[in-house]
Amino acid sequence: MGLNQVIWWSGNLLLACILVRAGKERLFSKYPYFFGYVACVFGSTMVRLYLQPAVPEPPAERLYGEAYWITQFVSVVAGFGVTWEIYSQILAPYRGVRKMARTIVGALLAILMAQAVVQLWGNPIHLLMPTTVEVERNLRVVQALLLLAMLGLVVHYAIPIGRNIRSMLAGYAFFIGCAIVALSLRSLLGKGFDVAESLVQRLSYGATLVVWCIGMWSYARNPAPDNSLESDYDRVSRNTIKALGQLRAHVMESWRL
Amino acid sequence: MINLILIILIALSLLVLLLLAARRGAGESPKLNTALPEDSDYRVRLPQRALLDRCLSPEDVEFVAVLKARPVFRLFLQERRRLTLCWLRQTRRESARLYSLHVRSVRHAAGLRPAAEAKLFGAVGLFIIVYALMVSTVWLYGPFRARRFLHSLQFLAGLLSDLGVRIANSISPAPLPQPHLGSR
Repeated sequence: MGLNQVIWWSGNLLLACILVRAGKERLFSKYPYFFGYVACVFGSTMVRLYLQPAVPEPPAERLYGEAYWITQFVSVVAGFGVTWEIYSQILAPYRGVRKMARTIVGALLAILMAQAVVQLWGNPIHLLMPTTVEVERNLRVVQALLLLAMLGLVVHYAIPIGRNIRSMLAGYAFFIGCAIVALSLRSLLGKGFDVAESLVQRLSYGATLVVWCIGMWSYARNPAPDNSLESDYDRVSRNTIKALGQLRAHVMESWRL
Repeated sequence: MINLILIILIALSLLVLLLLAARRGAGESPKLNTALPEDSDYRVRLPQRALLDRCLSPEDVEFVAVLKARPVFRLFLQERRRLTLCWLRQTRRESARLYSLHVRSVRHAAGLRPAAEAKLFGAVGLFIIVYALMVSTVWLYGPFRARRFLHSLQFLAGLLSDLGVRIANSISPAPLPQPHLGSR
């Protein structure tokens, strides 16, 4: 059994493990988008395993190729669900921001899907592979930017997040980071980088699955923000703006002759 | 190639932020700093203007110039530049204190408004830009010339503003042409 086979089987085992634990801990209803994505990837793997030709025959290989790119397309689009799950869970207590984020994320997904539909128009099966690769690259970059924004907010405001979301965020951000670098190097260096790209993607996905498996082992509630401070936001903002204004005026006045 | 550099930058930023988030997550207790600050915490704590005036006083310059000792004069200028930079640094520290006080107080607030936060972040950013410009001017030209330079800038800005007002006043308001509703 080669290294690729070991990584592939370990990945499947980890996916199955995450799904089994989620079933036991009843996490499906708590993180529906995330587990929808995990189930989608697991289902895709099972379909590919079922359709993989035992002996290389052109019709069977063509069928496998088509199934591979269709399942890849579905998995890539479903991956957006993980980003949305992270946004939705972290921003759950902040209704206004969550609504705004939902509009932005939805609009971005709609634009990318419309672009894919236009490209696939006419000959969907023939164009599936190049379109999927392009959609994957675009979606990964958009997700990387969205995760970057979310991580920036988490670090800046020290937003408290629970173990489940922390592992979801850490694992997916790591995977997306590795994926966009690998995909870009692949497009720059050409087919010569194919093997390395595939290995990087598999290893990073394996690492992500390990992080998810540990983090999603049991349910960990996201810490709720202190609602007693809600009414004071206006006062705090007003005070800060006033103080910054005073500071600016003091500095300007001090330099006058 | 530019795309690749951008993408590597994005990936590196993700990694750095992940490490920062992990470090904060490990080191911070959820119960810390949950109390709201008092109004007195927002009082601007800066060194007095008199201190800067004393530091940039023309009498001191005259006194040292009278001595006609070049090394002493150079040392005097160096010291005054150092003091002025310290004074400016204190203003930057104060703005950082005010902003971190704000972030600490609102990070749990459910009514947090992104537009208001962005505006505040912009105000702090603008202050930092002004601070950086002032520090560079003092560093390059020394505090005395920097003060004269800033004064002449303020004077010019005042002149331009007066001129603008006079031009605006001199333009007599002309009535707008009325549309002829009946004709085509």
